[in-house]
Amino acid sequence: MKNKELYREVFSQVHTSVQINLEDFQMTKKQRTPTRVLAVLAASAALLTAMTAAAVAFNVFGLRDLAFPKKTAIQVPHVDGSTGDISYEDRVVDMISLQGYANTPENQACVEWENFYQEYTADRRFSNDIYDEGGRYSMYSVYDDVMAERFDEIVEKYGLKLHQSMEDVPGREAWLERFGPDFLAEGNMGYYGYAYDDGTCAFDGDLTLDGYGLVDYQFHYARKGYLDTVVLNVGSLEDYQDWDYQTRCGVTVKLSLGPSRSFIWADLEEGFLFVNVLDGTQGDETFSDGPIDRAGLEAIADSFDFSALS
Amino acid sequence: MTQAEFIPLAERYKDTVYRIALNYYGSPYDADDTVQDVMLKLFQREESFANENHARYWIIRVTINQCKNGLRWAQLRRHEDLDAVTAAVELQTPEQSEVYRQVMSLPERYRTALYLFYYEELTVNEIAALLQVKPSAVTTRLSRARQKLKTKLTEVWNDEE
Repeated sequence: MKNKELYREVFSQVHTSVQINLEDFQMTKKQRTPTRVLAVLAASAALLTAMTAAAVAFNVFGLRDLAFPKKTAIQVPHVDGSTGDISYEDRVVDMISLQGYANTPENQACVEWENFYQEYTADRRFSNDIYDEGGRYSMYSVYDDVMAERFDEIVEKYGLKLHQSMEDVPGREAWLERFGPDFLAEGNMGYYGYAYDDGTCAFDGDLTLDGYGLVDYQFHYARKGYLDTVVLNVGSLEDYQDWDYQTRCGVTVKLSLGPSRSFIWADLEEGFLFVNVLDGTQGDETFSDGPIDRAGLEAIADSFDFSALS
Repeated sequence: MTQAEFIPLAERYKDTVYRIALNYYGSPYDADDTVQDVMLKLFQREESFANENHARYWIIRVTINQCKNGLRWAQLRRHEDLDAVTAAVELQTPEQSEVYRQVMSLPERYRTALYLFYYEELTVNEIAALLQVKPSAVTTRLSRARQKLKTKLTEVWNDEE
């Protein structure tokens, strides 16, 4: 039997448990109107914007220095395990850009694009033809002429360059080859990831910490001068405690310890580093063996040689 | 979309959506969530499809975009234990179970490309366009996926391109 036939034979037996019930979809459609969330946001946004404007010049707010000027309304889907019914919980969250401080062109371009993207793509249908296949926009989520025009405006406004191509980076050995043999300490497993031609890269990994157990993380490094559009929902900024820490490799990073997520980040000479640790003071039953504290987060930071990124 | 159009399409393609999302996330729960979300988008679509291919391609594309957006919201992701993922499917033979297990143990990018190529029978260029990567990246992923499976499934996986 050929590989393709074998593969098809196997996956033809894989089925969803979802039952298509028209009434569920009719009911869900009515539940999705998000106008109430936007009204709530209007009151708090002005204060937050004023605070941020005053502080970004000094980068003194810790994680807040990376945040979007306004909180973001999202809807989190919940599926009833027994009935399959969908309901949506409205949440207002803080989003951060992983490209740099809020006063940098990389951050501002990312925020501007993300806001446009969310607004423009909501409830809009796009052509079934792939837009600009293999062309200028192929490394970004651009679906039509309007998006391309807005994209170009943002790129020009902030004077940024674009990712041109991307390659797979299959795992730890490839990351060590790229950044040097000390980049990941023993036991720090960098898994499959990707790297753009300009050096921007990302991968998932995990490591086992003495006294804490296994912790998952997501590594992201954005080269300065390029448009990168990765953002992160951090819940509420008020939940994080920030401090400076000099790692074993001599690089000073910011550490932000939260309830279920914690972050290691630094504004390096050529790029912006951000490690999303999928654990916090309350732990995360999916991604970690148990909670971490300040010492645990510092130990995670010590398991990287960030000087290799220079 | 009329109800008469929606139900047959949803029934016909819900497993396609599920399998793509399962390969993307590696989680049956997230894959089922994606089926709900994509079917809702299908339900909300006001225009009819020009033909069956049009509908199929639209659904695959929306599913991939939905999965990409899902991955961006890191807090919503669930990592499933490989044993649990494998146990969630009852396959006819132990050989098939092992193939399924080894496929699901591949990195996400390999799995998704492999599924679109083998099962949906899309071309490399079509997959590249859907995933918004260069065709050469798709070729690389397919090649590496095959190599890995050949290493792990020595008895049943052929040495072919």
